Amino acid sequence: METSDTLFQLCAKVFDVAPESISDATSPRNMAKWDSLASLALAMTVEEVYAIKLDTTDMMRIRSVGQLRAVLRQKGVLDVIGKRSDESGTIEQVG
Amino acid sequence: MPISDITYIACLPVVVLLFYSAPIAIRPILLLLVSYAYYLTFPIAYLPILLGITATAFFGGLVIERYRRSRHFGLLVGALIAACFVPMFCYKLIIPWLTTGLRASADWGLTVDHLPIPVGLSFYTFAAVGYLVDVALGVVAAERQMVKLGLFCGFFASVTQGPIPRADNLADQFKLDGRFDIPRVEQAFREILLGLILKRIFAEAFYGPSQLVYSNLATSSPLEHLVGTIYFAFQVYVDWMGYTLIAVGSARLLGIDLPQGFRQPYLATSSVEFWRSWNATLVDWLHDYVFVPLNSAARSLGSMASIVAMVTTFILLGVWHAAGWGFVVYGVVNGLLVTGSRLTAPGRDRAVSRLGLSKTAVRWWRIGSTFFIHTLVLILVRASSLGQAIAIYSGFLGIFLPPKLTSSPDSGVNVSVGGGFHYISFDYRLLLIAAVVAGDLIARHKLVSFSQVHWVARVALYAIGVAAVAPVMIGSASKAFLYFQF
Repeated sequence: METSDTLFQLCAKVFDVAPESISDATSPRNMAKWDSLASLALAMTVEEVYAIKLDTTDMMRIRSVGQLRAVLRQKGVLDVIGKRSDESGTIEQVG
Repeated sequence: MPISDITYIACLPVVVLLFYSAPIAIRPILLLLVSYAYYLTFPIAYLPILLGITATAFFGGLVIERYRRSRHFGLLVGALIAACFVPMFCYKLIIPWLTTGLRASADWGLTVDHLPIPVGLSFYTFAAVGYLVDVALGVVAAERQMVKLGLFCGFFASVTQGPIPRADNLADQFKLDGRFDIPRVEQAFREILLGLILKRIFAEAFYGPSQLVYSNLATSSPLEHLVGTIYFAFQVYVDWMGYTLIAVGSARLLGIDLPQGFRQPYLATSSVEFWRSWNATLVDWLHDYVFVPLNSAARSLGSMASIVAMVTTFILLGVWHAAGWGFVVYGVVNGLLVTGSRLTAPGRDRAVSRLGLSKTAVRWWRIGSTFFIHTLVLILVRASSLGQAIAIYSGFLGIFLPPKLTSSPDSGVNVSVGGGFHYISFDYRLLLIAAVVAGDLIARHKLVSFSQVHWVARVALYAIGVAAVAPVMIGSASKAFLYFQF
């Protein structure tokens, strides 16, 4: 995955870090800024950007950026490289 | 038999030899037999409980996968999880309730002395429940080989005290197809040796003064209560970290990578960082399977959701130690400390920046204050009741307030200031504390890379370590691990 990946940019914005420091392996275990409040902020941002609703089981599945990608793909809102399926809008428009 | 016992250490090379001599196909069954043989060194009645929970997890995982689309799927998963928790619930609550009378005491009447809890019960219960939840979430596929799940729950190095294994790397963890690898074996040897030194020399040295003070709370001074608690804080840390290192090293000898549970928690600069680095596999488990669903369910409350979920999670962590109001308060205080630390962090950082304070000084202030706060909170765990803990705290207040305002005649705790040090002498243990802090600093900043140290120096260091720990191990039996009872 490239750092230009939209999902990486979204996560970087939520965690207030450089997109280069985000990868699919990024998780609360290796990213100090991914704490409880950041988890909520990430969920709310993802819901807003992709116009979806994450339920409790989705939240439990999201233990890394890679698993967040898998959840979004399962919901049909994210293609392989992490862009919005409808290709409209950008992360920069949010927040 | 604790894994810090000389018999365990003596048997380990035999297991390693058998393991690497055996064909890859039979290694799992060999390790499982070794694991159950090891567990049988504890009372035989414990084994059926381990087997029962393993069987529930194994067949439960298969059933969950088969009935994923059932209307009663949630109920099924809930029932299986509840079944895994039955032994823990019985041993931690029902049996003590029946034997001591829950209502008879202001502090639930329960202390760990009353509980004949099977060794490691909560650790393998958490492993099994985590596995079932992950299968239900679709994060992992149900394991088809019962031997592998048996090892996942009951692997001899981790069954009694963790680290708690995670199902998402179960398949990789127990491939067991590795070859005997010298650098890996040396790393494992180093971990086991360091673990033994921490457990058998450091932890047992810190045990003395803390035990002495807490056995004589009525005649020791508040200052001694504080110093005794600091020794206890280091005792708990090196005891558990030593055990974890022995477990991780034992597993590494067999080509298995167990997660490290401790990442220099006493160098944490905040409560958030402390709980990220203290017994991480247990805290991660609670985060993923308790905090996240609670946090998600309470999302409508906004930031309050995290506070409610955090405090609830920490209360569960507290009562995991044992049923008692002291442990409930321990959970509440830690939950509030973590959320308070997180919510105030940006403001504190801004203030430091505005005042132009030295970053190094602020960092050390934060390390010191975090350690001090968590040591004070630990009194709730070490005291025999909430009342006794409150009496100890009021003794500390007596340093600043008149004794009349703080005295508590019924607590059996001396709250009067002064009296000097009768039970604690400042001796070589201070050097041991300095060594722990220095070791943590070296590990945190990666100041030493063993692979770059000349082999002669490495051998010399190992020889010194063995010479230091061998007489202790030969001369006396290992003290029971503090967390066996959990």
